[in-house]
Amino acid sequence: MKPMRLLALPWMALSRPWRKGIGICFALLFAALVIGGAVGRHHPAWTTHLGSATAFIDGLFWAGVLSQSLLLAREAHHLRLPTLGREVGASLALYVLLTIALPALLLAGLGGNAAVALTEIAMGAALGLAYATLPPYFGICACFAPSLGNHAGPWLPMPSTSPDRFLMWAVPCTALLWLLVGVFWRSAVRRDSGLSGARRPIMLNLRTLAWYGRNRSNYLEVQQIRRRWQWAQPVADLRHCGPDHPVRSLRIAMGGWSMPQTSASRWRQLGILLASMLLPGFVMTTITHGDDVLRSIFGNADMLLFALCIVGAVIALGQVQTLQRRWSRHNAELPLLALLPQLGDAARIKRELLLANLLPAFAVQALLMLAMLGLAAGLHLDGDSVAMLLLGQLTGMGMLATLALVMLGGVPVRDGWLVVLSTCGYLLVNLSVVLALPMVDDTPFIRLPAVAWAAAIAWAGLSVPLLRLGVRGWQGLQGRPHPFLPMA
Amino acid sequence: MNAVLKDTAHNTAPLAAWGLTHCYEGSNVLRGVDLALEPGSVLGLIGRNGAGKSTLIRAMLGLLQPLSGSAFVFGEPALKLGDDAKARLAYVPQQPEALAWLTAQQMLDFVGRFYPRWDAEFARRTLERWKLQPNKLLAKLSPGERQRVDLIRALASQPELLVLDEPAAALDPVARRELLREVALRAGESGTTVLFSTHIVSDLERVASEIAFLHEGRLLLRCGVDETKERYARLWLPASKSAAAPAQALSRRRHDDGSLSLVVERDAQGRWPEAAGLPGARVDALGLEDLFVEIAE
Repeated sequence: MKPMRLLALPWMALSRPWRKGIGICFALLFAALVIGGAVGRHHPAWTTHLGSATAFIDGLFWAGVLSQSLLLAREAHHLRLPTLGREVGASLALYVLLTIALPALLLAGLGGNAAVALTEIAMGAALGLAYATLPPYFGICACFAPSLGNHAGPWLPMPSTSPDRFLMWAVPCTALLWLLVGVFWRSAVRRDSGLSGARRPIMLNLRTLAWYGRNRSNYLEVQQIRRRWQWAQPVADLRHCGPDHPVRSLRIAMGGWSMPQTSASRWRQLGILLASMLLPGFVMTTITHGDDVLRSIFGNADMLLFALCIVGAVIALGQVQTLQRRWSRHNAELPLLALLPQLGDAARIKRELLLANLLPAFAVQALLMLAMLGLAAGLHLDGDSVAMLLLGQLTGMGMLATLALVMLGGVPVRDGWLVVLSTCGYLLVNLSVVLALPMVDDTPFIRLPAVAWAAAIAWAGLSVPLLRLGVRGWQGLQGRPHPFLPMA
Repeated sequence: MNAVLKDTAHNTAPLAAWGLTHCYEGSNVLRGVDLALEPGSVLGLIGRNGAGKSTLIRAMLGLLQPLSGSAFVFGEPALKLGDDAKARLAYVPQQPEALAWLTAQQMLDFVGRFYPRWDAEFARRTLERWKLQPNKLLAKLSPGERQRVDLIRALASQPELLVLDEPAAALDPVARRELLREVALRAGESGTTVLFSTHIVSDLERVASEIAFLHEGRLLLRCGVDETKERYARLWLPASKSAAAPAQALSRRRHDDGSLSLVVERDAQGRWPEAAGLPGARVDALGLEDLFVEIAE
């Protein structure tokens, strides 16, 4: 077995562009680690910090790159290629030496605690691998690990506070984690076909998604419906549907969160949404604030403003994604609706389709805007800040309207360009809250002239392409013989 | 003259298309297809995977905008169908996936409200007969079950034109036979015009009155199912006579020994090409499946 081949093996499961992108990212991270280490070498606890940073980068590396070995090991087992199977094992062993043992030795050579460094880095690597190769419900927990130091520091010994007591809990936990990863790895390699969605490692689910290409969003939606418990399924309310109520009928046909539901179903969905949003906050706040949980969550108006802002942006992007799903499938809702009688002429259908897709989202965004204004009044924000908050929500609404027109009008736009536009819009909407709040010396950032100018330029930079796309979408929609033609 | 014929055909034909051309990512999928269905006929559209069958059907129904050409449904432009034409038409796509978030019963109930001649009793009975659980979400049904629910949706609207894109692809043999029986019944008793695409030749023989063979985006032949044996044959010419092969042939294959196999058609007077009379030449009758394979290979 040649060492170079063993080193290259996990990278072989990645496509060339991914290999290049991930390689550059890790090279940059490694450079940042070295530069950071060199700059901070006079700090008393620099080896401890260097150890934590190495553990973090190792976690990312094992999650992103070395977990790919699982795919190779699976293929080797299914194709009866024992040599490849052995090579995968040897490759992982080599990477353990290079990414865990070697950095720990180096840190020990620089004056750090070898046992602590080894344990911490091994734990980082195990958490990264656990995220990718354990079933998602375990894997997701690994994401919270980096914040353990911040949130559980007061009662859990950490390398920086108590190295010896850190080893007492970290060594058995790390060993257990590696054992768990080993058991699930073996199971995923040997019996993939028997693993249902909830038990399939994230790595295998991502591979399946890659097969679906642009249709992965549709695949995910169907999988979500299939896996959801019966009681958690949204129940459509078919009352007042039919030719006399085209907008409501189109909302049923579009599905998603804005579909008309029975009251019981609506309350259930709201409960699930609130629980899933509040639970992580509740857990983290319990860890950090102990008995003052509720006041910490609901008494923080700044955080609530952020939350409302994020919900508004997510609703806009979620609705756009729903439209993208519907208009990308040839064999689903489009042919059914295109040939459904009594929906009216093309002009009427286009109008009603826009109403069906935009009105529910606009209504929720308007409610969020009102709630934000209420909070702004409670925080005694000035006119500039309130205008900033309104601008943020209006940007969310504008993004929704533009992207909806792009989908319905069949405007050929590259996926990458849409992602860039949506991400910029999402960041600007969130930025509006940051700029509106008095964070430094009771003065909102937006009152600083340089910041105001930068914000104006950023908004103009987003508005111009949005407006152009919106106009093209509108013209495209008007020019279409009917709106149920799939995307180009 | 041709224009007059076209006018007549698209006014009377339930479904007609002229010069349909379409391409995906630079490759031509349809190359000027002309096709018109007679009222009450059952036309089986046959062709290999990727031959353009689904694209042709979708273009004929106005579900995509072709690069050129025009399609008409009951005399109306397919891309601008009125309510009346839509109410008389039913289409089942290949692997239907619509409204996955509704149960089978909810979907039929929802869709049924838009069709003036909706037969709710037929839908209920057929769901029961085909052992489909009405309260199960469509997303949770198997592909075959989902296809059957969509077939019920199409049939319950009592269409005058039924268009099925590979309707039997996901069905088991029993369900396939039941479907074909239902299609034959509709065509025979109610005079429903049916267009269905398939690559299962036995399905064609069972129900189709006509076949149209689409190959690489072109309609190569169209005739009655019973006529094919009489009208088409394989002409084998030995190497020494291969130079005399007719220029017009549906397919042409040269063997290693230099001999030539061609699929030929009788002319207007019912005669095989002259080369069939050459010494050593042989004319073999072709079944539908053999004809399909000979042309498609």
